[in-house]
Amino acid sequence: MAALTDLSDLINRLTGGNNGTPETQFWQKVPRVSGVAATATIAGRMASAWQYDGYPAGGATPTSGAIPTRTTTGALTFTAPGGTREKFMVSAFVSPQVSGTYLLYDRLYHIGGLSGTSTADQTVQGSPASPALTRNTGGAGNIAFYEIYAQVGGTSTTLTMTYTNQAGTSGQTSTINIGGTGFREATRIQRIPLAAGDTGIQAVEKVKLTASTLAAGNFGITIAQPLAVLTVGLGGAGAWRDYTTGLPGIPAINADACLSLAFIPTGTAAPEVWAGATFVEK
Amino acid sequence: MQVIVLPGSFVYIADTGDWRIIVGGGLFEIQPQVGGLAYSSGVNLDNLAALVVAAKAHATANGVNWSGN
Repeated sequence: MAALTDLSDLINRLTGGNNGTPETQFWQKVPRVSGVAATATIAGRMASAWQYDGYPAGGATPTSGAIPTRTTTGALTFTAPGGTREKFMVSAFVSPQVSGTYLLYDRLYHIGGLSGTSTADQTVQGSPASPALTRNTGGAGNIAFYEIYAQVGGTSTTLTMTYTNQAGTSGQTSTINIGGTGFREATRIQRIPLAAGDTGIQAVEKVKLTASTLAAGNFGITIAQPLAVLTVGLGGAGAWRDYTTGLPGIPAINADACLSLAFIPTGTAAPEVWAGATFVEK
Repeated sequence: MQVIVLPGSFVYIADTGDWRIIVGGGLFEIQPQVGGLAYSSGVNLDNLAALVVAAKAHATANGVNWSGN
């Protein structure tokens, strides 16, 4: 895969030269899940738009572990690069109804059906990992979060995640709280920290709750590769990022990437989100 | 009854939404799906009884067992 050489190369390809295949996609997510009003959000706490209706349609609640891709229902749309070319994202925007911070990420792996009452080991990918990641397999920069699909119980407990880090070291563990108000509602996601010194995740073997939250509900584990962050200070005002001149450079987008949105709202109204991105190939 | 296939285990969620059962790892674990642990016998426990029968049949038919089975 060749890197974009310079601004001339970029402009040439963005105007259709040299098989640049410029593409701009517009997405619109509405705060409804399967036709029912989405759960109210919590100011300052991360939520997932994976299941929000709109364009594209909302993603399903995962059951067994799976590797979602560009063609999985719920993935934000883009066309795969042609030939042996690579896809690059040169700009992105979001104009949500509710201010906050919006994260565009590649959904590398997800599983649902985990229980908020079980205190046994709950297998995620297992060991050896199955299915193993197919994108960003080295794990650098990958994050994991728990994602609530149906409300778990009102009692807070500790979730311990056992995972393989970016160096391939298995058996690493870290913990986070789950359950109780603010940490149990559908669409809530909460990033699970990594052990000291770790910077990424190759696989999540299992999770285990210290005690029951007193309702099983349905939660899952998602492994994600963050791609872009857009901060919006005023609902409707929007934010736009030019990756040609701003950090983090021009992100490469895997041909099979399952693009999705997460957000940290400033209020409790689940947002309608208009978003999009421009891509070019080389 | 919704059946969720996880590595080495099955999760059964009652269509009535109030109970789930996990079978695997040597366990046949009955869990309340929502709310607390107190249930009325005329409604929720009937739902639980129906789910236990269906989950036992499915798990056994698919070779997933539990201690004492």
